[in-house]
Amino acid sequence: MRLHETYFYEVFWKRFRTNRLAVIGCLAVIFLFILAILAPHLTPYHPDAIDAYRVLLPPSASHWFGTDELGRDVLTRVIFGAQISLLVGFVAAGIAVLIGTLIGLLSGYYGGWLDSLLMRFVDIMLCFPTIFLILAVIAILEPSIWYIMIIIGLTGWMGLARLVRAETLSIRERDYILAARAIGASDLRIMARHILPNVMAPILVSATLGVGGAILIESALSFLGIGVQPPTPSWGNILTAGKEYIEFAWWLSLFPGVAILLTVLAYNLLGEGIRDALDPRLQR
Amino acid sequence: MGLYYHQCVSTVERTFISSASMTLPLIEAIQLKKSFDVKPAAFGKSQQLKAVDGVNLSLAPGETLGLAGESGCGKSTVGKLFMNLLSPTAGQILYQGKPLGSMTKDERAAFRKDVQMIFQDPYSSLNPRMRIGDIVGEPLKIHGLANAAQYRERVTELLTRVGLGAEHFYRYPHEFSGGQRQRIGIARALAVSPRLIIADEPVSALDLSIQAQIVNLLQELKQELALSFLFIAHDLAVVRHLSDRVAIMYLGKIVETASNEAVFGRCLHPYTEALLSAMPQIEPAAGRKRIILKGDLPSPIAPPAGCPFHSRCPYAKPPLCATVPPPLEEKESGHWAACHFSQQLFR
Repeated sequence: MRLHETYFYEVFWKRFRTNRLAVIGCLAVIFLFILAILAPHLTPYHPDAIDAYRVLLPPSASHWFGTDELGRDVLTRVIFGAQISLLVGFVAAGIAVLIGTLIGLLSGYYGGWLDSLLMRFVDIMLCFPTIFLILAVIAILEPSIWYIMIIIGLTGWMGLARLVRAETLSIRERDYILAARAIGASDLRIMARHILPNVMAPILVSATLGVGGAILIESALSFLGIGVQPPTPSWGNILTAGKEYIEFAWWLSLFPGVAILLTVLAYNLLGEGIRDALDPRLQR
Repeated sequence: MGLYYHQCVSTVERTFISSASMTLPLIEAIQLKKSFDVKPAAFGKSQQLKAVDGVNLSLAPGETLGLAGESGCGKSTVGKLFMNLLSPTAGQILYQGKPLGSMTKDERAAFRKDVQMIFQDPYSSLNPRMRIGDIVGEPLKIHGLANAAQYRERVTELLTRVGLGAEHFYRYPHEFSGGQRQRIGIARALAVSPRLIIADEPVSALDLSIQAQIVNLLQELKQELALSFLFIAHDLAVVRHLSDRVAIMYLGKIVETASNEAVFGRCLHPYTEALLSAMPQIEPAAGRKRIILKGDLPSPIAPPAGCPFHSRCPYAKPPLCATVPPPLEEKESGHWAACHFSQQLFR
């Protein structure tokens, strides 16, 4: 692929940057990345440092987001929580994209019984209520961040598989695929070199939206206590801890809540911006 | 040009006729049939669409066969069958005497190197996400025809041969016009040094002035590289310009086949006559009457009984033409036609 994409990205960028919301989403995502990577350098506190003299302090100049019931700095914990969120978001979405793309490509390219088999499997997977499936699996296994990422990924690929299959079905009929077969290209080569680069658009959109979705699920699981386990900070489990004190320490719940909201919003804006920029119907 | 020529009289009996020399055909189709299942909406039995219905064709090395007929007559399907991109429902195609259906892996690779295709639509035949150099060079990579050092040079050579240049190597298809794209498609087909090129309507999507350029390019290539061409087109003027031999197809069947001169000089089938009468004339006063066919091409799902052309033929005589399908017979030396009355009609 190397340099092939230059033109594509040129047009894409031209259209993307005129979409103000998408650019805001993009900047927010970049900001989150910087936050997560530089986390230890951005705050004077350690996320797990307990301070019995500074319990449940409201937001102030020294603790912008206040402190929690053990005297830990909430801002520090929210920033370190961003690391977990990004990790879970990207790994889970990555797994989903890999499976979805592979199944969609195979299904669309080969068709026939393989297509029927894979698509019925997709239908079955879509029948499971995802959150309960995850609950059941975590109940059997121990709650660990790796299991969570894998399970979110394993239950989130079906939409993309359908999208990639539909795109593949249409691209398969183009003459350049016939031409590739005529020059003796193998099925693998045709899928990797001729079809995949032409279905990158929906994959990119789905991956971006998938990151936001995965972060939301992780937060929900951590909130329910079966996600990321304390003392490792995650937005979900900070929120859980906060709900005990919500009557007199609103900052414990508000800040991680807002963090989840804004992060998911940022990914959705970015994803939809990418989708709009790639939509051929808007092309001139 | 040694015109080799043969036709089948029946499924069983094959007759070989050669006018000048008797060479082994490069590729030949024997009683080739291809039907597609057409599924009706929701319920009901699926029907058979007979796109190609018992076609016999052969191509000698270095020969150009023009396959003409109106849209939907099955000529593109014949092209895809010849390319082994579709497999026939019945009958077979022999490449250098070997049936395509039972080739070994190595033979298949060799076939892919020998037989190439040029497509009709220059827009959908090039991958929009690949650079021109990669499109033209891909066959070289697949068949291991050039090492890293020669690769660039060979691709440039191919681009130059079709009238493009080294400076186009890193460009994308969208930066080119239809005619240039068609040249890129031709360069890709030439990359493997093929012996046979199947050109499926290679100029019909282009502007008239560009058509001439591409036709001339094909003509040059044919002479320089001693290529065989199966030239599929509905434009008889182009067919006449390029072909050594012409076959006219109607509803999945060959209705007339002969040398270029014979078909355009004195055709022996009413359908060919009608097609020829529709060709634009340089001197309209030349006095050929335009024959307007009634109706549309009948559906290949339910082709008419008897002669497939009788429903639109201006000379059809009901009892015979509507019941007995006329066999493709040699009416004159090397000139075959499928019509009960060709002797009476074209005296």
